[in-house]
Amino acid sequence: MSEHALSDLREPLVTEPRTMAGITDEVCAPMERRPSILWTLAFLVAVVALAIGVWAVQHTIRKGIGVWGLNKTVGWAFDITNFVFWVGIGHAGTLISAILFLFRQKWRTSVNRAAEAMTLFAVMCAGLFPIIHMGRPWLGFWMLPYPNTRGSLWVNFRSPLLWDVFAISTYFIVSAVFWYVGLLPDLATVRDRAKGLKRRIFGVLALGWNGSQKTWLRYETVYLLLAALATPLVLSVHTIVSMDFATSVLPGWHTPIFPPYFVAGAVFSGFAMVLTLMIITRKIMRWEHLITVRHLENMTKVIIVTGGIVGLAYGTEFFMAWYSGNMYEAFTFKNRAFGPYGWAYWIMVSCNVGVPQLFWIKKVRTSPWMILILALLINVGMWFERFVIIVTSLHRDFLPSSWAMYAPTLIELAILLGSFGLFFTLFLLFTRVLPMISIAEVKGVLGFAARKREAAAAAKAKAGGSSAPGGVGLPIAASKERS
Amino acid sequence: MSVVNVGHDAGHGHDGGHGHDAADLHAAPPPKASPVGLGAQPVLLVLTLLGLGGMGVSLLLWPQRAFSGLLAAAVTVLMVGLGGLVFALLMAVSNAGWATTLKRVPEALAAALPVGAIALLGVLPGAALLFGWVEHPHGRGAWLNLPFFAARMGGILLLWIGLAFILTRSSRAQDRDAALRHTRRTVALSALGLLLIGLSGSVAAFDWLMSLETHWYSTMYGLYSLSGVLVAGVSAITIGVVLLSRRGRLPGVGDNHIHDLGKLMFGFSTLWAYLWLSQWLLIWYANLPEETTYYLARTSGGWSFLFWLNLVLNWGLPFVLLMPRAAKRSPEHTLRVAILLLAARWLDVYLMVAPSGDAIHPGISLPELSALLAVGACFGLVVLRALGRAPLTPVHDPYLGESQHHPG
Repeated sequence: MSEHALSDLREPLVTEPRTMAGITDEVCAPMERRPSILWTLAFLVAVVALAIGVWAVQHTIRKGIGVWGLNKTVGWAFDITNFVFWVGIGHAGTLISAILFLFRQKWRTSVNRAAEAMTLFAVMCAGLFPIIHMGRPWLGFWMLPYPNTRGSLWVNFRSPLLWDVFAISTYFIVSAVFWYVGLLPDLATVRDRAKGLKRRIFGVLALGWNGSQKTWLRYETVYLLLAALATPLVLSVHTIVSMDFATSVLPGWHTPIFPPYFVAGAVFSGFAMVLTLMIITRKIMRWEHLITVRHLENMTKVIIVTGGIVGLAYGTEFFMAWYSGNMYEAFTFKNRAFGPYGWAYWIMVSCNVGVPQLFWIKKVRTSPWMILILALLINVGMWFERFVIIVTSLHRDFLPSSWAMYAPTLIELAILLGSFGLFFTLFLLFTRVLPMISIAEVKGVLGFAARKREAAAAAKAKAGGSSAPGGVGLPIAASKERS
Repeated sequence: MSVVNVGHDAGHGHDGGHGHDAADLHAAPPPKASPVGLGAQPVLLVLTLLGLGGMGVSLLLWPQRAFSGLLAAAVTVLMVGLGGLVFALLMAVSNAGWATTLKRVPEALAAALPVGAIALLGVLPGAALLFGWVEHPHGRGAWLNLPFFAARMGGILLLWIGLAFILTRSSRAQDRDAALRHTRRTVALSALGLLLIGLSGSVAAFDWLMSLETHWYSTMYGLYSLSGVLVAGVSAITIGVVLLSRRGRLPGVGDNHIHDLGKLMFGFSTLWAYLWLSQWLLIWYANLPEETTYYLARTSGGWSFLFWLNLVLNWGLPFVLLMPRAAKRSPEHTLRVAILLLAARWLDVYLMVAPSGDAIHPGISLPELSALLAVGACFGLVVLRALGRAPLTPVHDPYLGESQHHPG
């Protein structure tokens, strides 16, 4: 791909002089040294949280769903909130790796690997909740349509909950394949550096990658095709999640804007989570030159856009509740904002509509600590969005005598904690066993970075007549130019 | 190091702050505007006049259909103009480089927005014939009353025209002074402009189209209409780019640009279908009487055929026709699909407008076609004039080099 004509206004994606070998060393380093104390502590905390969650799940399954705070009116609350929250988080990875790839957004190179891993872990967390809510998870296979001897027992193809099973499993499989295919060149790199058993394991995982021209050509073809296949999945999953609600006739759930609004919200929350993880990672690993402020800034811009769509949807729903003249719609929205769960609503609005507006300010967009704080707030806001949509639409239904309140029990909170435990356990393991940044792809953007630095140095030398610029990292650029 | 510098001296890159160095090398002649489509302009003028005549006749014979036809034509043309504006703003806000060499085309479409605006304002005198709430006040009269409706319409149209004016002015100013600040300002304008277009576009769809069905409502209507804007914009840009580059007027455009436009048509058409499906499926599924009226009117009588045809023309056919890579790279082929999509765009708008009246069967004849002819031809004429007002290659745009060396 020609980078010669790139505009002056483009900034390099690697901000320190690095050779190709240097990038390999840096990204492989965390896998090749002993875990740090910080990592060990974080891992312990995550495993303890996971253990608490496992205990709460077995308690739920042994005693029954009665240990949750559900009641006749609110028959569906915390578990589905957590399910939608985690599925939403799981949207950024494939958007970054597939859609940004199709749109030729080169800055995705140093964040796509970790974002995709995060996606897979988030989808795993999400998938647990419906299975737990079944109460008898060992019958979970009943969700799969296959010829069976259970009489007329067959799945209901008209139910969006079944569509969910298909959508999410498809999404998980395609995302996992896409992630794995993208890993191949790097797995081979790790193989070539490793010895003994590790070498054999990575040798099998790398599928005999030999780095030849032919291998690369096929790899790039497969990667492009998978990106095209994965792109509609970014939209389909949360579309169908939204239909779990929108196909009903419940005010607050049944509204046609739900599909695109849920997709935007999912990408919004997913990017907030990617930012959270990336800001911590780049700090601990000292990768500020690989995951640069510009990467963070671009992601905050995606947050502004998707947050804007979410805000537009909030506004549209409110306007339409009034415009329609439908008293039930109007009540639901009044109840959302000013009813007993009003506090949750205002947390949602301020975190999801208010907070992202701060990203219009360049200083905020370029300050990692500010971004981290705001991204965490957005994660909180998006969790509350699902809680608000689900619980406030249910708790005051058409029959005032059945109005009720819902509050999660400690067991439910423990399961949520457990899902975070699972997520971080998996993510922390990932940081130890696989290259967190796509080594091969980052190498692809090194040449431009080197030329850009060279040009800047030359301009400086010309202007100031100062000493010659340092030549670190230039061999790459020069050799590329010659070839 | 010297090897690297050779690359720079050859004009493939340039140092910061002197954005025009490379551009000078790429485009030898100084920027100069020259007329576009001199042969087509008189034809378009005649067609406009013919259309106006037809409109006059239909106004006397079928006033309701004359206004309904004018509304459909006006909204279609506004979608094209706004689509051009949105495309230009999207390219600016995302710092996209590939489309710079063809950016005069979306700018010209945006500059022709006033044609659609005048046509839309022309609907106001006949509002009582189209909008049931004019004579039978809606429960939400605070929103749906003629003065406020007209004020919102005027405000929204002014906003779009204003954004288009600032955009094209700054883009043309860069031709003269080669200053980088125009690019930076356009980025800021684009971020703000897209935000405002998202809001105003939603309100416009609710007002001009959705309120035709006085008691019907759908939260999706705004986004659904905005997806049509994206399709209209990219289709019209494709037509303009292919026709201009055929005549050698866009030297920077190659197969890779056509390919990208083809991909965007494919993608936006599919986005439209996604929103179409979401709205239809949820209303069909819930089956609430106050919501199904909209689809009932459009799937009964003679409307049903057009209703399904709309889905085929706006998505089914383009999806199949644009699927192969070679198809998206062929200027002739993408041109045909773009014309199909623009025609289908009118059909989609027509189906949002016409079934809201009393007609049991669709009628597409003099009132509808003459309005479309008059507004469409006049729009085309203004686009051609706008294209002639600025050099077709923006030689001082800092992204021009990228666009002309589009790597695919």
